[in-house]
Amino acid sequence: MLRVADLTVHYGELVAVDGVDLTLERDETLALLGRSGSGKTTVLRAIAGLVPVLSGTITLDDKDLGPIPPHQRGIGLVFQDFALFPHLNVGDNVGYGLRMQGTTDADGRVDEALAMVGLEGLQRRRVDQLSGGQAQRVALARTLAPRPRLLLLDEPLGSLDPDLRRTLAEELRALLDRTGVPTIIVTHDTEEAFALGDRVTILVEGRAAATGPPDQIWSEPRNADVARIVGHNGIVTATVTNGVATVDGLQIPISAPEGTATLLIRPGAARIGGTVVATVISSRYRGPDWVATVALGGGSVEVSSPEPVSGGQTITVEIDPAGVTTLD
Amino acid sequence: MTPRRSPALLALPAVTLGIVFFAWPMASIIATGIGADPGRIAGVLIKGSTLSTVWFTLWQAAASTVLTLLVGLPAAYAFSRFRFPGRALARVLVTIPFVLPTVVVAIAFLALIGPGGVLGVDLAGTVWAILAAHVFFNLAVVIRTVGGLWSHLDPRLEEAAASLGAKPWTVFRTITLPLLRPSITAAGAIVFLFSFTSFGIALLLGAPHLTTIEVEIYRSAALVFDLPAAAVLALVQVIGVTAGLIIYARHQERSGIGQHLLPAAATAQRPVGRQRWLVTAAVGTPLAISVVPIAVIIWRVLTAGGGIGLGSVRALGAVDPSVVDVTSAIGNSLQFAVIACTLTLLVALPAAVVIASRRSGMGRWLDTLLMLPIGSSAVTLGFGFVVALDAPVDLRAWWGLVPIAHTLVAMPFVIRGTVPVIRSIGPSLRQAASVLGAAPGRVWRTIDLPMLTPAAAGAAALAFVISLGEFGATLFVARPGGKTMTVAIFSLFRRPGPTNLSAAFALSLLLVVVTGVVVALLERMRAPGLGSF
Repeated sequence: MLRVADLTVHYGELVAVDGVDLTLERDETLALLGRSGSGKTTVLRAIAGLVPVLSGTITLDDKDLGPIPPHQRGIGLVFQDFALFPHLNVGDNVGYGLRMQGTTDADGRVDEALAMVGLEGLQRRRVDQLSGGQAQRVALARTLAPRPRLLLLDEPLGSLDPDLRRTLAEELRALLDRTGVPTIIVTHDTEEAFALGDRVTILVEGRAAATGPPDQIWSEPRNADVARIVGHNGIVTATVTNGVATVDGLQIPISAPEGTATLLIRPGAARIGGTVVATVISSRYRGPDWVATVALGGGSVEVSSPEPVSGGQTITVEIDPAGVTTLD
Repeated sequence: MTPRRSPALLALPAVTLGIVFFAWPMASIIATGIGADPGRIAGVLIKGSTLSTVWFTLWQAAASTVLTLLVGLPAAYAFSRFRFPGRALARVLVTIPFVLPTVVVAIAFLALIGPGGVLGVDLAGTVWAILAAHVFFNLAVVIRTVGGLWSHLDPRLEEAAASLGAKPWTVFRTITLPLLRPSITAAGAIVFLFSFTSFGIALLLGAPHLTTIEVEIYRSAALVFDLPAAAVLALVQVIGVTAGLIIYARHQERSGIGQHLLPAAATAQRPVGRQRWLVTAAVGTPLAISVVPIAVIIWRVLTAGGGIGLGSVRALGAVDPSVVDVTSAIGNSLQFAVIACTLTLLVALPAAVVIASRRSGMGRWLDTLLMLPIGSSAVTLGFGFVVALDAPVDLRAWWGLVPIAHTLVAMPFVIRGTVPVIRSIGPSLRQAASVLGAAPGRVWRTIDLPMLTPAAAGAAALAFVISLGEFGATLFVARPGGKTMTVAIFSLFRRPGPTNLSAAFALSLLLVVVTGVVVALLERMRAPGLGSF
């Protein structure tokens, strides 16, 4: 239903978004994952019509959004700090969009929206008297009340405590499933992106570096950037000859062209054993085991150890070929 | 943890000054007014001319406020939401009028739209001249006060409204305007107060039937020597001013409450497309209003006595010293300004420290007390000196009254400017310094003092120009040999002859230059408080 094609946005000299393509289907949630400055929020603001688009098209239900001003797009946007109107109470915040539509039963719809996020009866509360979690829910209710065709969430859990984030992420997922509004979520948190997104698009320096279901993105990241963003550490350089990659004396059978290759050693694929010796850089207790970061192939891999190890010590390392992927 | 409280004793000099040279004179006026024969009071109050003066004072102040807001609000928007070439210079230029002496403002407008004025229309003696001069003078108040809040408003609130379906005008009406309302009301109240107590402008640009209460107080007391009548008028003035100050104080407190304020740089952007025209118009109008009258003064100085030249400077030397002693006026002005500036620093800064460290109780009380002179009109202050300071020691002929009056006038501005800076030195900075091993004295020297210095320098400069430009109180209390430049300009202007007129313009230009330099310096130092309420 939403198609973003070759979207490019500049802020003066700065290229914020550089030819991004996105699609979003009905009943789908897409997570836009990237570091700060990767252009993910700008993509969201472009879809909402809040930043001028240099080139590219955005169509919603086959209609070009380009000439349509933000207030006529019917797209709901939840801002990072929620942007609740400080001079209006909770009820008036939630009812704002309904009044703009001229809805006749605005009060009823406000009650409904507040009930949906579990905040019945808070209509008259001042917004500066809300807790962080309540503010987030009011922002959601305000955005959902006018029944938008598309929901955009900018770091919806970004400003909340870690504990609260986990609870609210589950609630949010349930709410999105219930309402069935197609949604794009912007986040820098991999766990959040995987928990909320049916698909994940990774942005690196204004470009879409990978798109796919979370499990696929995690196990088969296309390149080192994507691998790092989804949280992988084991990125090493190897030399490939006759279908065997060599990393600091370790031999790994692999299907890759001859020459130098970048490999991803997924967590758990490297373990203690074999005959090849490597140096421990650092270690930490994870409970119940210790995790040793071991220098390998110009990078490092993490190895689980039943006993404490310390930096500078050497241990033997072997690698399970099933946990190795070639990166571009 | 509660912030460290500064010893209340620091406020003692300010309180003493405020009581002896402000509260007591005011009380004396009120006593004279109330103590007058009731028949006299009624006689003054119901006199047709008094009623029409009060009515004119009120409605011209209201009209001035509305006009200033109309021109100032778009400019406040443009200055706070956009970055454009020349923005810093434009800000300086629209701020200069606010610190210009009112006499200079009046003379500039006479040269522009007075008899034989540059624009070819004679509006002197009409309300239009008064309104135009008030707008010119007060624009900075609106631009700086409202712009100050506007530049910190989170633009995402407006974007949120737009994404919820609000049209641009609806966004402005339902989001922006309500959020700005406290600052608009505060700025409006201050503009109203300044216009309500307008003296120099009303005296020179008005007419017998177009006169403010302030001018009538001066006439009754200094020209007709009808002290009870002046006291009754002053009483009316004080009531009006107090009402204005109460409105101001109530809204000033509420400004910014509950809002998520952003650093200004985060909200300003380059104008694109149609916005360029908008910004040009919004900034160009106040810029023209600010620059043209000043340019006219320069023009008149350069073209005095025929062609382009320095005829005005020669005219300064040609004025008969027994009529107006120009040299001694310049000397007096500088001397008084230095004294007032020093006095203000010594008295107002410690008081500001006390106000900043106590948000409730005594801090509030002190803040209100020291803000009072801002509205209580300079003429009333000067009149109060004359009424009150004859016993136990007769101070009325003492030269020191002039710089003291200037200090009282400057003090509210200085306090307004420095309190926020002192408050911004949060307790965590001091705690960080002491955890790093600095003893209390060292904390003050290495944290408080360096952060305070720009604000103090700004305060000093502001006090200096306010003293240079003060007119109403000086006219009352200056001794014959102790006249200042503003009084000299007024006297020169009132006398016939092209030499006197040229000299008046030359002195005015001198004040314009000094004021301009100081404003540019203040702006460069980013000293807060200039015209911002």
